[in-house]
Amino acid sequence: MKSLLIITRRPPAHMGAREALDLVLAAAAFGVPTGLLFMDDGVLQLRKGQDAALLQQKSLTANLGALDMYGIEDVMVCRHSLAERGLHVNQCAVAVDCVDNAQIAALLDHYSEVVSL
Amino acid sequence: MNAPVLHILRHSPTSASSLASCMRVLASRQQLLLLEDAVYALLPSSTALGSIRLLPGDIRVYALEVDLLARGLALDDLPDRVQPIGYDCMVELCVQSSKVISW
Repeated sequence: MKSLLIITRRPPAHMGAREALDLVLAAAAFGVPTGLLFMDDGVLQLRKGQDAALLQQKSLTANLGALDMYGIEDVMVCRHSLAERGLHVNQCAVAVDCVDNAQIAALLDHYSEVVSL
Repeated sequence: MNAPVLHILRHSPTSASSLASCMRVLASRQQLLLLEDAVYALLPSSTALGSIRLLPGDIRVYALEVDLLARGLALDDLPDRVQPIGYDCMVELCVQSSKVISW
């Protein structure tokens, strides 16, 4: 069966961040085995304590919370991108697996389709 | 499915992190294709070109010729390992690759 890895590289204020989450939830709803990898500025989506309502925007935190409900277990974050931004995995709003460059290379190989947003 | 993975880059190496991210996870025997503003990574003596030169020898690097010429990058200045290609060859690369990853 085809599997799909979504790599999200956009910060929360960018439409691409919301689209990546929508895509992963839609894929899961259709029963496609899906993984989600946060990379580059995408890791900023994961920070706890964000309040997008102050900017008249909807927060992405609720969407992140829905990942578990949709059965998306493979939620991963790039260790290098976190470190570059002075972040630690325990500052993330949802449970994520930290992966290094070699593990990401293996992920790209493992999933049959890879989409980067 | 044994054909190599093709990584496609479209953004300038200085305005986006896609080149750096892609290079971090590029595995041996894979292929890299530079399109649009990503060809600026081939500017002579730029930092980006420095890192492309350091890629393992079994990674093939291609760049779309029209994008190079449109941005004033001379084909003569390209390092030997970078192969300029046309649209037809780009389509062939995409079709032959087991997987295409657009960064």
